[in-house]
Amino acid sequence: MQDKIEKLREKALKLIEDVKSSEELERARVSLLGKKGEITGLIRSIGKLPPEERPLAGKLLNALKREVEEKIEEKRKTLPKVRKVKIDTSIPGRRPKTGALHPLTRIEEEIVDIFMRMGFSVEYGPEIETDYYNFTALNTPEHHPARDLHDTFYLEDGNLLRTHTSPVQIRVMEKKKPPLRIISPGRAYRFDPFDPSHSPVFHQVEGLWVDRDVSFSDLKGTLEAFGKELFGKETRIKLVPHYFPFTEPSAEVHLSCPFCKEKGCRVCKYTGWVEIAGCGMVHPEVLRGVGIDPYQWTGFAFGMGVERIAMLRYGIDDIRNFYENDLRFIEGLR
Amino acid sequence: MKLPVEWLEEWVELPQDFVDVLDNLGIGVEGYGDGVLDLEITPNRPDLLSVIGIAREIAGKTGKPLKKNIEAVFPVRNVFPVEVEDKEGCPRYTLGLIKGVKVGPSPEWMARRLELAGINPINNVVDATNYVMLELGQPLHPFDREKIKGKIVVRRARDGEKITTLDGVERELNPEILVIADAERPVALAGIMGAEDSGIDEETRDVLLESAYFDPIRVRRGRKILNISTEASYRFERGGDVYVVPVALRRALELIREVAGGEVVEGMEDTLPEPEGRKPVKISVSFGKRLLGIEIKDEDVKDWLEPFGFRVEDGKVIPPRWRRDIHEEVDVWEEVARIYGYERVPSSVRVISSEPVYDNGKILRQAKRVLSGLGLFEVYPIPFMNPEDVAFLPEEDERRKGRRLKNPMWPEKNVMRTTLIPGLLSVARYNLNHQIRDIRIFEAGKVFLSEERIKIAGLFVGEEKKTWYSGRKYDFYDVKGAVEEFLTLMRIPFELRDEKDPLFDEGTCLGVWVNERCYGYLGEIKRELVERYEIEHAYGFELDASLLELREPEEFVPLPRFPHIKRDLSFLVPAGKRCEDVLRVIREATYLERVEVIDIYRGKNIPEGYTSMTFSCVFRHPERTLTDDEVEHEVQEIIRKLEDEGIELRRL
Ligand SMILES: [Zn+2]
Repeated sequence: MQDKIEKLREKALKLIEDVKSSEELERARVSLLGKKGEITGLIRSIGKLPPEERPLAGKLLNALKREVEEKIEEKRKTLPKVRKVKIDTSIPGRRPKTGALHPLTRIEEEIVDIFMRMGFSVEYGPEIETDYYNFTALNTPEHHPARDLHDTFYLEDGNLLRTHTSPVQIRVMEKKKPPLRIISPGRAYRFDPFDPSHSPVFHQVEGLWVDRDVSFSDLKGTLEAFGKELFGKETRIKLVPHYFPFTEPSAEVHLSCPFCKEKGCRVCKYTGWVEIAGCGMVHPEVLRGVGIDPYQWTGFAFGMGVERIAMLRYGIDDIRNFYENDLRFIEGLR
Repeated sequence: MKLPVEWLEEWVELPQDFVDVLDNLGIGVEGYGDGVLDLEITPNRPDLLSVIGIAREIAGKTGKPLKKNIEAVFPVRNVFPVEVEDKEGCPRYTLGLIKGVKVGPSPEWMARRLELAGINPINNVVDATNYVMLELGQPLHPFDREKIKGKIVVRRARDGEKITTLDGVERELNPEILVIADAERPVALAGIMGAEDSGIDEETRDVLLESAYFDPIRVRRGRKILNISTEASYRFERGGDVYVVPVALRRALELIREVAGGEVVEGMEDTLPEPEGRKPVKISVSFGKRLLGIEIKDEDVKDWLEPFGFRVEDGKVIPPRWRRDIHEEVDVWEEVARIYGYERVPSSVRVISSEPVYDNGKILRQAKRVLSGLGLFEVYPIPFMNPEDVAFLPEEDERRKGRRLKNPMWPEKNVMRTTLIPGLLSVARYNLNHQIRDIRIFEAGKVFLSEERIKIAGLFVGEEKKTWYSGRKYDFYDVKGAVEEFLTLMRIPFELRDEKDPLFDEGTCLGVWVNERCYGYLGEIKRELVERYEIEHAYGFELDASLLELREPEEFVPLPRFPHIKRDLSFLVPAGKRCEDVLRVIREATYLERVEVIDIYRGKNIPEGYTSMTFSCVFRHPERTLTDDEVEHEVQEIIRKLEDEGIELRRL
């Protein structure tokens, strides 16, 4: 036994002597003092010796264990310092779960933020509307041909689903007196079956500014500032004469195509411009209807399509993406 | 409206950039191929639904006069008896006569132009009337004189009267509908379509030609009731031109003679030979400047408007006879802006508002951000609901009675949603179908009960994405934890209580209470509902967004100045007792700062029917350092109280 111990001692000291790195030292430690190490094994085998040999063997082995431990510690100090356990840094990290806002919410927020910075407050209105607020009060009485442009969802109780966010104009002007500078984001509905550019449900941001001397020029400047904020400094805005019963003069708002910078591409149908909103000066009939004198106060209004803007912003070519709610779509755009 | 360019060129000299000119005038060019313009004409400008209308706009802009001028009319004399019973429905009715025509195909040039404009050629007489309609904007209607008995009467239809129109459809009429009749029966729907048995055929020799002005609302009402739309009704309901009526009549009669032969009777019936002139509109240039934000000199208005047929004098503007859309001052300023050019209007930006800016939706926006930060994806389902989805709810539940759509887009989704949960389930189903198993979604949107209310709802379906550190199936505690964290981050002082709501499984439903009011529920969604979406388990919540208004103000909490003492205690909780029973007792302890449940365990070493629950309790005194003895006293007190309730400390 003594021999065995002595041989092991020599082997162990040599082993430690030859070590070149912390890893090797650790391996040497385990091979000697680990659970299955050689010294540990000998210590465990003491029980099998005849009882009279046990004290000596125990003494020698403990001495050896101590000596080896000391040598290892000594050696460790001479080796370059490295972390005890090396980790595999290539294993993917523990990622916290994150969700995402729907792209329409994000665009709507951006739009709202821009107009709030321009001094507009935010108002909200009901989605189930009366014929009066959706049409009549907006200078579109029954039998007005412009009603044909709105394929309306009706409820059995005689109300309807608003076809635009413009009724909020009326509701706000009924409650509050000018000066008024508001926007109103919200959902609207039209009886248009789903196709790449139509959805029965869509979102708009309505704008209204009524004051002593708000002009068509202010309308143009405000929308231009908005376009530049949302799509970048080079963006241009073009107002094209159009017709809406509740504004006059009325215009369609065309934005220089953010994809081709007016050179012409598929998105803008090779015109260099894309339509994003309708706008105009609030029609005197609308102002009179809410008790505002149209020669004392003037104002402008606009309504822009949130989906349309989101599609231009993210390069989406099919409006249905917004309503299928494929989580990969929402995740991909966050 | 489709318009062959060569036809337009016959009327006006076209500048090189006439497409841009039209665009800038608000006449949208939607297509321009094969020599045919496709124009978008807005409903306020029926005068532009004609070659002459477009030609006038171009002439006005370029300053070059029209190449043609058609103004001649026939004298008024008796041609055929005409009676107008409904003068409001038909302010002007003219009728002419051409004898001895030979009905046949139209000459090539006329048929081609009609085809390019999208109108099918029929025969030379009908085609000539359509041709003049496209040219001058005035719809005309030819009758076979032999088929008209005695006289022409313009009157309301009688109840139950029937007519078979040119499209071969028999239609039942009512007194809302204006008709042209003879002594016996209706022979045409005024301004909409003629009858089969009064129209032109190969045998026709003498043609009575109608040119009239019908009340737009009357035409619209009639065609809505009968559910038809024609080129004629399209123009009449937008407003005709009362002055052009006899002009078009003469032009059409002469054109018929040209293409079908015959002899025109030089005269016409006319029920309004001298229509009132256009009323002048008073304007104030200073108002125009204010409205448009451009510089306008007094003489500018005259210079800009007169090329377009307006007359301007002494602060008054007389619109041309064809402009039915100019009634008041603002109509004139729109015209000025259009002619001046929207592109020349300067841009003004004024950002400072004298009023404070507000947004009541701010908290909701924040709530959405918090939920997405908690790992949920926001979705936008369509707010229409299948009432079958909520048919299992008890009779008195208001969510069962959705507001019904009269014309739903999808027959089964025929009510407005009363809860957001079915929409979220449909989104879950869609994603499961696309092999997405990890579904954590929410929506903040309106439900439609007796009033519109904003709800915030969320749903967990499936399991976490499988990774080396995750892959659990979602369960009740995911939704509970999400709601707890959400409300905490929103600073809403809430309390969760065992509750029943029919939308949720009994026994796995908690009510969310704030200030002694329940604002919604969370739990496992009722089997009856989830099964409709072929989903096994779905855990969700639905809260009324009004609870966001109860948020507490942000408050600074001073940092603790003295150390805490922590004790971990494990209890054997027997069946019939709940975690809450232990927590309640622990919370009664003095100096307790907080308590966390750090382990829940059943199985080996735990007696059957018991659950081991370990609580980490943190004690702290705000003004001094606690002693071990003080804490030990509290711990013993907790152990004693729980023993009284049959909950033993688990001794290791
Ligand atoms: Zn482009």
